[in-house]
Amino acid sequence: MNMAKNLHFHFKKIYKLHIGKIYRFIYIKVNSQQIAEDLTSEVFLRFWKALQKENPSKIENPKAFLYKTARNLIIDHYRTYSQKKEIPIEEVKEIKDTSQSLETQESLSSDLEIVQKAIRQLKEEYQDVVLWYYLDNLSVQEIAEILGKSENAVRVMIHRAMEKLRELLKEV
Amino acid sequence: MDEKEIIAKLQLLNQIKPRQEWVRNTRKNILGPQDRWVDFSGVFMIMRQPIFAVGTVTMILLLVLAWFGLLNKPQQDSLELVISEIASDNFYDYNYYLEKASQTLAKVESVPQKNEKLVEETKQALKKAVEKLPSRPKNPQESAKIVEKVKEIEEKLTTLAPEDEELIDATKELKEKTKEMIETEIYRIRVEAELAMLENRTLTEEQQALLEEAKKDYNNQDYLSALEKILQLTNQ
Repeated sequence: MNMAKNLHFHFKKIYKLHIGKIYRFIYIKVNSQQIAEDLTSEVFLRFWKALQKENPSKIENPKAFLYKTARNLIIDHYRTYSQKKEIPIEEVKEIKDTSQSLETQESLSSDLEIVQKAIRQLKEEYQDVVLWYYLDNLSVQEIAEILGKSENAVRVMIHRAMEKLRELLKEV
Repeated sequence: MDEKEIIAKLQLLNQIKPRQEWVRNTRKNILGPQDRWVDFSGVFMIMRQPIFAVGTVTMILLLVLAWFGLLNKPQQDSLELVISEIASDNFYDYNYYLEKASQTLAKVESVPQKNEKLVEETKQALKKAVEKLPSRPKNPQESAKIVEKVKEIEEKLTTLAPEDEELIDATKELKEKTKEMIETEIYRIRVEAELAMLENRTLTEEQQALLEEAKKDYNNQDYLSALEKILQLTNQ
């Protein structure tokens, strides 16, 4: 009984701390509230199941677990899209937008949309490191752990990603 | 567009937030019926009802009246002191408290019968001064002024109350905080100079990446980490 209580408590703590960030990370990448909500729910459901299977102390870094799972789910989501090729009409528009040049996006009304579009034009790994490092304040070490790369490699990726982002934003 | 501007633009993404209702429901769905979400919105809804709103306003008015009433009663000496201290707390900066500490300390010997109260007042003023010391002085003159004042207090303490341990501790704390502030300032100035120099140097990709991390630390006011990274990259 106590164990179950502890698990609930641990999960609630992690959930409260990370739900907003994980949702935002997924939303920026999929650009759909519905999909972001579904994938974020799945991330936390998997975390809960993992907690029940393993002792909480065995999931040494819950943050890394959540981001890794989110990243894998996004990849799976796009893989499924490309296989099925059955995409809801409103999302077709959203995906098509990401391949457009920023020059053609004069109609974008807000800075927020411009940044989102620019981020989505970066390659997958660059998107991840920029969002994690500058928005979610993950350390280079944490990012290295999630991506399974060396800290130096991550530093170089952050640098290159920022250079690319600078170019994309300059075009606006 | 420089890095600061890009980071500022990235911060706009913080506006993206999930719906609160969805956040609640998702947690409930995952944890099942055992989950209990503490929801205070109902309490606020109740307070919007006219009867509760009138009650709340009346309560606030009574509290304000009680406060003024108490302030005007001379016999409520200690309570008055506490309330006026709380009320005045936000109006004074570290200068006021440094000066107050210095002045009350000067009286410690000249009015021996009131020593206990004066020592307490000095101690409180020192504590407040520590709390309110700026993390970053506006200019070197301000730093110099603070250091001078702290030195003055320390000298007075040595002459007037050299055996009062509580005062010695409070002054030590003030001295430590001042030292920390000055050290941070030195690191900041050094980092700024190093960053300016590095802007004109040709760097390898790894060095450039380290430089960007150092800039991020600098922007987060973590000057020591910034300096460490700069030293690391200059040694590469």
